Amino acid sequence: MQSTINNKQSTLDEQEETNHNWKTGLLLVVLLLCFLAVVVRLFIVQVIKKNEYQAQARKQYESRIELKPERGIIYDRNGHVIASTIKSASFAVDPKMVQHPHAIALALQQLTGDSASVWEHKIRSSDKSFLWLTRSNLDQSSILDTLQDIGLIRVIEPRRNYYYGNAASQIVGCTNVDNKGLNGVELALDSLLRGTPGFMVMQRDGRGNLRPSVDLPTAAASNGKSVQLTLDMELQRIAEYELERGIADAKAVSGTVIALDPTTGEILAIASSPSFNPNSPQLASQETMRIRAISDMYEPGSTFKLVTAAAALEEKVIAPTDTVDAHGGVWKLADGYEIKDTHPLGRITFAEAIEQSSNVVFATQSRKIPDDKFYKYARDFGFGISLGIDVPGESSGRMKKPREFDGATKLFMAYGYELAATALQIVNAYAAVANQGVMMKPYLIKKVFDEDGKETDSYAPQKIRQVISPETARTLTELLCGVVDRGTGSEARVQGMRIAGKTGTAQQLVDGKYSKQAYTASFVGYFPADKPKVALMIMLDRPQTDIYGGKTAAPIFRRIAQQWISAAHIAGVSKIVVAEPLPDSVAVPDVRGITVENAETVLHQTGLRLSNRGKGIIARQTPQPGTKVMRGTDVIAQYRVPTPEIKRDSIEKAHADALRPDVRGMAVRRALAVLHAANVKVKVQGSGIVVKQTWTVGTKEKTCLIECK
Amino acid sequence: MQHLTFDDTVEYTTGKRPFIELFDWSLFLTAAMLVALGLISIYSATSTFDGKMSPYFIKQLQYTVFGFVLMISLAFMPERWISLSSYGIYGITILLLVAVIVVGKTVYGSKSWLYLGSIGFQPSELAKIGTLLALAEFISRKGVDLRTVRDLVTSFAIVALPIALIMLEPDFGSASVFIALLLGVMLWAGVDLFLMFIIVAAPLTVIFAFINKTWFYVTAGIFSLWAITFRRGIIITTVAVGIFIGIGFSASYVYDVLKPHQKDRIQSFLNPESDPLGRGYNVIQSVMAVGSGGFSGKGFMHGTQTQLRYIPKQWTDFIFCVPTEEFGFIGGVMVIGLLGMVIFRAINIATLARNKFSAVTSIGVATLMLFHSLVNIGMAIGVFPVMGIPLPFLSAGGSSLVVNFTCIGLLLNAYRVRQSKVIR
Repeated sequence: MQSTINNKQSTLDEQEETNHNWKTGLLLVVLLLCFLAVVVRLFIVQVIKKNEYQAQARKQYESRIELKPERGIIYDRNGHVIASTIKSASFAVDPKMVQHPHAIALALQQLTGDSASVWEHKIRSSDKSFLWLTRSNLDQSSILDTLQDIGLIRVIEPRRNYYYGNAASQIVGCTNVDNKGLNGVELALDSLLRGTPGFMVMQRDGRGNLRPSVDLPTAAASNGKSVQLTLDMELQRIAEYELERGIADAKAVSGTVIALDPTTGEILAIASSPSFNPNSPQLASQETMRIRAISDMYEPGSTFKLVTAAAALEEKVIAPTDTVDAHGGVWKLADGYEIKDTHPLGRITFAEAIEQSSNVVFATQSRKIPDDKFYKYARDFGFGISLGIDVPGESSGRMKKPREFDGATKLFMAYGYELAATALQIVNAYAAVANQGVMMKPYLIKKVFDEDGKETDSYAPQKIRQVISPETARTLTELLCGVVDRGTGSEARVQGMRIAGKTGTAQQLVDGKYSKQAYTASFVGYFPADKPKVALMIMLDRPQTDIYGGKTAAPIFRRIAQQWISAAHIAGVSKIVVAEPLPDSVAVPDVRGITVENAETVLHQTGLRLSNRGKGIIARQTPQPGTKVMRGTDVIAQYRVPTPEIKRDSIEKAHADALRPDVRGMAVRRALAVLHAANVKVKVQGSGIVVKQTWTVGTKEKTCLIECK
Repeated sequence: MQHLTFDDTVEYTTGKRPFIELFDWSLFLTAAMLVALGLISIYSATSTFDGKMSPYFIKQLQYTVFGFVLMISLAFMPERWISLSSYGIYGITILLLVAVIVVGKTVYGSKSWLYLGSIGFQPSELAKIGTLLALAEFISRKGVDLRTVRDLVTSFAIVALPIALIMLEPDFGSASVFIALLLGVMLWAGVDLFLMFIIVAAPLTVIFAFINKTWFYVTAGIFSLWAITFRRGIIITTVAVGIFIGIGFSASYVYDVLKPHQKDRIQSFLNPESDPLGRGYNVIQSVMAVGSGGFSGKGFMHGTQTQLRYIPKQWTDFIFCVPTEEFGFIGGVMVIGLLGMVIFRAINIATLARNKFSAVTSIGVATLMLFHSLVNIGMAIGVFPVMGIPLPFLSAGGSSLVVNFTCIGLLLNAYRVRQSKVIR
């Protein structure tokens, strides 16, 4: 082959050539094997193990985001929004990125009241990369909102807003920051209101950022359902306002009010005071969140006489006009017990015995009713059993069974002792009488709507049983009207309307003994007596100024009844307003019966303004509630100042001014309180019991030096 | 016989070929396709989300133009110019390597970047060409015989100098390229096979010694037995066995001397899953990207792992994941095939070369391409440790691209002046 090339090197070349040939061959084979190995490996990775790596990759880059459903709206019976979900801003910082911690701290100082230096320290000393500052601030967050700082994180979260503030807070309940119901209706209907969350699959990149992707699945959240309650927020607001006022007047520890429609069992208002603000539940104590009207039981006292009277009349052991012996107010039992009346009475009619609330008469008359009959009536009126109301926390009360009765049990039960009942049970018993002896099941949830406003469920009134005959019911109504017209309930009298009612004053058991200081004062009744629309119960716990239900609870009943009648809400209109307003028009909310602060909040939520501020509560408003107006319209309010209150306040103030209270012998703390109430400036020396006080009276102020040991 | 690859019926005479035959179109087109694939991959791996070209892509385009001009110039340069300037180029690259140690910029723990104004480059890349040329020039000199100890030591020295300087940066990945280069050239130029065996077996023993003692004993045992089969006399064989055992036992000592990032790389190679978010992260992500590409890939700009930027610095050392993820196994085989074609062509040209200088240069180029390709792809699919070696033509990086174009230029030059074969 190489013979054409003719030189001496040919043999060497040939040798090298052959050498190179086999080397090249080896090289090529090794090369081929290497490449083959790589391709085989690539085949294994890309083709055989493809699914494994694809799954791994997907797990890494796909991220499932939960789409939060919007919580349903809670309406009252007239379609007013009680609670709805709005978007609110929460703020957090990344302490490592934050540029202006001082500015943020200053904004937080304004927002929270905590000092700026504390906030600044908190931000600077944090080693986390995410630090919550404020959660779900509604309107005050605007200061933070304006700050420009890359370390400031703004999180838009759904936030539950309660438009009526404290009103109906216990029954409506509240939600936590995660929008989950904590109590009341929010808890009871949580699964309904909450809705079902959806999801969205997003892509997550190598830095952890999320990006939407069109070809990944998305499932929309289905929003929660809305519910309409039987509550009438109008009545609720009036009731709470008056209850609070009554508690203050009576210096009671707490109070409960409950109103229902006797013909249907719909609860119209239910509240306890003190109440809490569901917009900031973290500040509320557990105590203020309880729905006392259904959860707390107590010995009812005289209000229970209704049951005894009903049983006696229905069993015809007595008629209203029959005369009975009240034993001069004291009736000694064989085993040493004494039954006493507050006012000694002699021979009176049964009707008078109810009007004057004679314990003696009821105890003696109860002996005519057999134990099991008596028990049956009490039971039929709903005592000792749960009424099955549709919110959690209902107590069934306590009542002895006939076989557990001892000799005196029935006698005590006849005027409301030796048994425990809830306010709901009592008002429901009166409602049964009001409703011609037919007891309705009390309920709170009227309708359920889906997110399009379509009704999905509706709850009709349910009859529990005919407790007594309509005739007996009528007779009882007459007797109860007598209580208000002539008897212990006269403070509940309203001009131009017949009211049936009964007072109750029950001694509380304190450490196993009936206390002479702790009383439960109550008043329960219904109106209008001939065609009852509302059964209403007021209960005050440990009133101080006066222990009697007729003196403390009855006035509250009267004021609520008065205002409610004047607000002309007797004819219950229960139609939900789901009208589509024009983009710029809003329906004027009803601000009547509430204070200026609450009215401002409610109007602000709807985009309206309150034109004038005043004292007391709003009596009239222009434009009328429900009118469609443009956003930003002024609402003019006419205020009604509850005059007696102001008068009494100023008299008390004048008195206090004139007085120089003697605080000697008091503990320092108490002395300070007394002197402070009397508008006196105080200087304190020492501690313990006040031993000496010295007055310095200037032109404008009085100073008192108290020396203590 | 390789010579039969040419058309036997045509008679060639040196220097009188038609112009079309002066240029190796197949090699040129193969390289061009690789560069194009590289540009596509870099575009996909770095483009901004609004679909604009990234600075990396633009820079790569600029270097492509520069490299192309350089390649064509080299292809048509008189071959003597190249061989004459070999030592000069070698000297310049050595000076640059010294300069980088003094004034270089440290990137990822290695002081490997030198800046001339705003243009940065890696002298260790340029040194590959310098060393290749110097080695080829030395070996092709008349009278040089690698079977003599003197010439062998001289060739070793030519390679050892840049290795030593690069180790100072330190950049063990690049340094290993020079060892591979030396081995490839030595094997071609005729060196004692036993010596070659030792040179190859010793580093392998070290790697196995890093894994654990058992692996080390097994490997050392096999190599020792293999050494005996060479029948080189008792003393030499004993020395060889001693080297295997000695190296193995000193491995742990060497390991202690290594820089932390080197240790990390060895550890993450041996067990990438041990620390999924740390050292092994790149490898895990890379293999996941490759594997999830499947047979036909996810489509250009649709590779989730690439587009979501899971592989850090993907456009440089891990560029292989881009064509494999977006064009699948087909894309991977295409890249490997094209690189294989370049290497085969380089070996082919070595056998056609008219002189030893061109032949050694071509073999050197083949070795460089082979080593870079295998190590880089092996790294991307998780069979080699992460060494920081770019994939020829595909990885983003000006210095590397210019070196690759130079290599092709050298091959084209060797092809142009190939032996004329007059067939009977």
